[in-house]
Amino acid sequence: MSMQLLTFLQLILLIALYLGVVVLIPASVFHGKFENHPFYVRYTAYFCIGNFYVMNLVYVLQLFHISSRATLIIGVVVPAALGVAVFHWQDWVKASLVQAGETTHNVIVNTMGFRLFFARIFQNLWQAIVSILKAIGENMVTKWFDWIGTLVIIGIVAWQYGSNIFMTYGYTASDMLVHNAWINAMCNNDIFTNGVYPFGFHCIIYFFHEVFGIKTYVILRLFPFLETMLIHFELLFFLRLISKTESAAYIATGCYVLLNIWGKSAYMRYYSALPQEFGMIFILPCLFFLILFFRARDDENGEKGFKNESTTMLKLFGMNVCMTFAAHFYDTIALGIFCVAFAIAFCRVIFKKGYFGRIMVTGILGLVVAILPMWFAFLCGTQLEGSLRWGLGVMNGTVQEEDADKANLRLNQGKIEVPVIPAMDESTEQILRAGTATASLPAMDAQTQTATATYALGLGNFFGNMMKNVSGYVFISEQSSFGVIVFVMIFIGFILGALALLKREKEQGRMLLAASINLLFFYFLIMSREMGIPVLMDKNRTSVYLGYFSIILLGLVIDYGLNVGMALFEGDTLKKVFPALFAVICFIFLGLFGWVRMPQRVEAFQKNGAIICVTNILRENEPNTFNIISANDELRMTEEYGYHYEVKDLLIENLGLNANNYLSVPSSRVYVFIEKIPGDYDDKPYEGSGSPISETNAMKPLPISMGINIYKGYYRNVVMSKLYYWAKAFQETYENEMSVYYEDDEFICYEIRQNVDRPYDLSFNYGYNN
Amino acid sequence: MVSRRNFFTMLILLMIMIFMFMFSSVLKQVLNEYGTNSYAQTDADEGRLRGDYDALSAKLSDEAKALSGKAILPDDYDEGDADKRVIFLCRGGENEVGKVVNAWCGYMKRPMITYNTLDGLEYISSSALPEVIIVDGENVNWNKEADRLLHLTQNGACVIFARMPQPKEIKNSAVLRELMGIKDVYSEKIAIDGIRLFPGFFIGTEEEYADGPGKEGRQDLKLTLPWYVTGEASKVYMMGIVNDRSRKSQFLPSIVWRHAYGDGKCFCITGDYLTEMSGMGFLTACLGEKDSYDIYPVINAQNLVLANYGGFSDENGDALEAIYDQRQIPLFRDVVGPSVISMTERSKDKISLMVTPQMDYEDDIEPEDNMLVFYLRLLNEGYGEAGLSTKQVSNLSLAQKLGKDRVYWEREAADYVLRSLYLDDATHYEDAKALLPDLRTIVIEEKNAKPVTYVDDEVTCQVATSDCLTHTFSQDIALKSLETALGYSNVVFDMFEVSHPSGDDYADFSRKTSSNLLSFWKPYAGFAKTTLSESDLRIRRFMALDYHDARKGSEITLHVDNFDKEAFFILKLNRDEIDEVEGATITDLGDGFFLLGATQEDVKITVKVRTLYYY
Repeated sequence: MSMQLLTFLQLILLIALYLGVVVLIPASVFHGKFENHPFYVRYTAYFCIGNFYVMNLVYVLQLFHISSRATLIIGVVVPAALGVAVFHWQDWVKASLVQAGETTHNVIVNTMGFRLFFARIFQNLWQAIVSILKAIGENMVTKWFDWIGTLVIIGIVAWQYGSNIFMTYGYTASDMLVHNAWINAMCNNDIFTNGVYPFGFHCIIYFFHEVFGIKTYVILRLFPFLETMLIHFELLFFLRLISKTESAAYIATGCYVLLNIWGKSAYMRYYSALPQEFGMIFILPCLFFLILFFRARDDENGEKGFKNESTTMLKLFGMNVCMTFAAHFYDTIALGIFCVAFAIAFCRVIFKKGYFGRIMVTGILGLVVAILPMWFAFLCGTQLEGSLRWGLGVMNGTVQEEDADKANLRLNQGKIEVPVIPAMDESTEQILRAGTATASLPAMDAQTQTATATYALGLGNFFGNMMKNVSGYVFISEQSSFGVIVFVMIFIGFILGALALLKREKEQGRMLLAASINLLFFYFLIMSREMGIPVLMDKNRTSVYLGYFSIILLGLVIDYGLNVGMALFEGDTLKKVFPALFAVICFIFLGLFGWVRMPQRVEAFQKNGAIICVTNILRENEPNTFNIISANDELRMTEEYGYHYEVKDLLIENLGLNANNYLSVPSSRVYVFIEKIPGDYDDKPYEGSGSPISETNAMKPLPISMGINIYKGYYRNVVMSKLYYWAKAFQETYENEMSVYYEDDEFICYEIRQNVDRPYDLSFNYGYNN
Repeated sequence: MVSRRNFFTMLILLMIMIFMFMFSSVLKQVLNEYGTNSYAQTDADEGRLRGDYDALSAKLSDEAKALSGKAILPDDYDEGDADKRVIFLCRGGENEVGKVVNAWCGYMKRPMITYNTLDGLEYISSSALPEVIIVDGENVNWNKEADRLLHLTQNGACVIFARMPQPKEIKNSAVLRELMGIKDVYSEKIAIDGIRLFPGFFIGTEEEYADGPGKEGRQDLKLTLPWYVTGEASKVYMMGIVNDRSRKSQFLPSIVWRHAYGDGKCFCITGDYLTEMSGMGFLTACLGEKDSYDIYPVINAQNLVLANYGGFSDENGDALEAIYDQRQIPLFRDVVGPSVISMTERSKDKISLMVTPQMDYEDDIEPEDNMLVFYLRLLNEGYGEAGLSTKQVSNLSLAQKLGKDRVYWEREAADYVLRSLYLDDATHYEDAKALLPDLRTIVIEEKNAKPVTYVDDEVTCQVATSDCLTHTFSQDIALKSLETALGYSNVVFDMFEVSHPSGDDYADFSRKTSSNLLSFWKPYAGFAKTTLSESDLRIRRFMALDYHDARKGSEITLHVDNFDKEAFFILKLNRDEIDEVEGATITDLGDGFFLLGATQEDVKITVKVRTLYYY
């Protein structure tokens, strides 16, 4: 079976299981509560409930050290069954139970044969399937535009971000290994293994690994696709909620996915399964439910009650606030900024009685629920995880934001080169690798770089700098043009917002203002270092949010324009189809002129061959019967299933011409992973980066350094060269016991078969023991 | 009242049922051609097989004689079948190790060239190096030979130390230690607690030869050994074990191991295993570990011989009645016979029933009529064949005894061809041969004799390899070794102890033999279960054949000379798996060993090119 086919099957399974648990199960319980809402509201509500429940269930079980497949299944199935029974007792549960009882009685007393019994079951199942298909069919007929639009968006997102997982099998971010390790630790009920950190993302991955037995590394390999799809879903559904026209949401989302205007730092993180991007899924649903809360309050006309729809929407708002923080606190910061903009725009509404207090309490409660597990762990003596301390340090000014940026920027002949992989997570190397080597940003003059305060610059300089920053980080332009265009769009947003308010289209006007203010805030956020104000997040991460939020303003502007423009035409179908067709034609023309972005090939930190080998090794070997000798990466991927030995340790044990010590790796199978063209793990490309291993490099002394630095940059080539010649020499000695397990142009894996009771001596004089 | 119609219906039904049950038994009685020995009816040309064997032996012997004991000249090694030459390095003539090596060379179809010194061998080219150099380490002048052996190994020679040099010699010689891969001579003589045999060296399961539950009384290995610690480039097949579990396994004494040095390999065998014929499997096993594969001929026969089987006359009846409450005839017919049949049904063995109609020819008790017929009928139902035993308690000459037996035999089953004989004293063979013109094979019990050989032009000799009453650790190693070398075992139960008991009663005898047979021979279920006549024919074919093999990529070819209908080989694959076999049947024996049953002269084996499931 090819890896592509395996990846496809695994992806289908993962999507089915994920949506089954976080959407279908909540839907089966709560569908009565949301049945009058459109699909996108129902979906978002179920999705939020499902994720919130799973996340917190795992938290609770982990903190009590009782998390296991059994407790997790019980924790999901029992409440779901009870929920179905409670919420739908009168609808169908009672009647079904009665009917089931009667049928069972009939079978027992032999008035019903088994043939009839099974025929009834199949008949009922068939009827259920038919009715579901019929409902979908009817919905497709009535909502045909939304169906087509959504499917198109799914298709282009899958094309844009999904194709990479079929070409690159490894982790596209170095810190995914750290997250993998943390999830592995959760299998031993050791949450917060490296300290207190938002574990919402890890809880979700762990749940699907533990309950369904999908290997963690497989989920992490495939989750970027699902995560990115969901981010775009929420953008689409949010726009769909606030738009007056039906096509604006699809056009705006299409622009986000297709247009070749975005800088790599604005979207490259979508190629990796990272907590921050997982948390992004829940930012827009917060505002989504806040708007629904306002609408419900308007409909309720001041009515009070816990079971009111407005309360339900507030609860969902709270859950999403909770999940942003539980996934990554940067998402809460982004949400907070948007909420402030929202509060300014909706000040006439929000400060009304029965609004502000309830919203604040719900939001704070959401945060408390998110913080509670971390606080509990902290009280029990678990220290803060390093990156959390770093993040707090950045916010309170004890850590300079440059520390993060320096890792990603480097001066090169007058241009600042950004490794295609912008900063990922502060916990490890923070480099994500893109396929096309590097992308250049507009050069910043020395004055700008050394500026520590905006006050020293003139207003013009400041704005010019701001536009360049936005253009450079969020867009592909080397000039400030895109920054200016968006700034103009903000201005237009203000104008249109004011116009809408004047036309008493309050929600549309307020949303236009909120989106504009929010973008303005993010403009300042990206310049916070230059302005001398606390840096809440580094520029690379800010650019992701800025790009994402700018689409909301774009969508609203398009919506306003279409709303006005389409008023001239008659007929609903024409109003829907014309703009969409026009957009499609525009995209085709843009594509002809190179303005449609093509899918990126993002290189992974592991060679494809390594992942193919890991997949086969796990399939072929019984647990804990093999060892993988590799440069660290496979340690976490196979942690639960086998053993790992560091290349560094192997080579250190082989130091010295006689290598007299006896090094044994006691397992019946030992696999040696060698990169024939070593990956470039350093944040600074070195001379000869991408060149194959060589005897010359094998002859160089082994770089002895701390931690994984030995695997970085040029050192990695030396290490891999030595390992290759070690393997060659070992194979000459043990020609029957060592064979090539897998080989391609860039990677080779050797397999050593040995007697576990008398393992071979892996330290010997292989000619390069220096 | 039953009506007449019902009565007749019931009667007919009863008759049908009786017929159905009786029919098969009646058929078995009527159609059983017990009077003929079906195993004797072969269409093999025994004369031609013997002729081929003689020609092959002469060829190997001539080649060996042409080179042995003479100065080594490169020209001698540039010609001929160099890759099948065996050099035996030993000073002072052929000794006990030499005999074993000689026998092994004969079975492996290789000439054994004996030298006192390897002087001159280092000058021959690497491609002309002999296949293996077997060294009797105790009889070599190491001051001169150590460097030569090191040089030869460096150039690609395969060296097997059939017996190790004295530990002191190894300790003092850095060259020897380098050649053997010995990091340290921890002790020249130390008592260990057992020996561990790892899988893949011999055919059969891995084993721990140390005292433990269920192993009481089986330890008879020599456990005082030099303690050699091996290291890099070594692979250990047998190691000593000590009860001190804190010792890491890599520092435990190596007993049999391989050390790769330069382009060659050096195999070391600590202990005296190669001083007995049963130890020849060590040489085969070492050769099997040399390359990616190995093919060698085997007999493929597993015999179970019930020697001195009585129960035909009522001799020693009072003594037996005192023990068993039964006299000899019912004891053998009702107790011994069924228990043996039951055991062989489980082990799938065929019985070679070597009967002795009388033990005492001087009493007036004669063998009973129809008893031989009874046993022949039983054997003819698929359990085996009958032969004669020579044991007696009277003072008749062998000729007289066999003469009397022949009278009884001709009276009972005149047409049954007697092809096998259990000879309790091999010196009387000529007498027996004169009286048994159809004799083709004899079974003898002789320590350290060649397991199979020709006695004369017509008769083969099969030596008992085990009595199965005891199965000590050394016997187990011997069994594994012999099965690996020849795919052959010849288990002989001496039933004299049953008809003339002196110690254990039959219950003990049966319990020990059946538990040993059913346990320790289980890994060899892939080999054919044979009667003596069947194994005789296989031995003749085995002795006559010669073979050549080669490997090209994933294809291994085997050509069999002097092929006669079938030939058996062991294929040892060290890293590959079999994909396809042409011209032979194949049986997996485990751990990379396969039994090839060649059905034609040329056999082609294709090994799998490894492909991963996910690619």
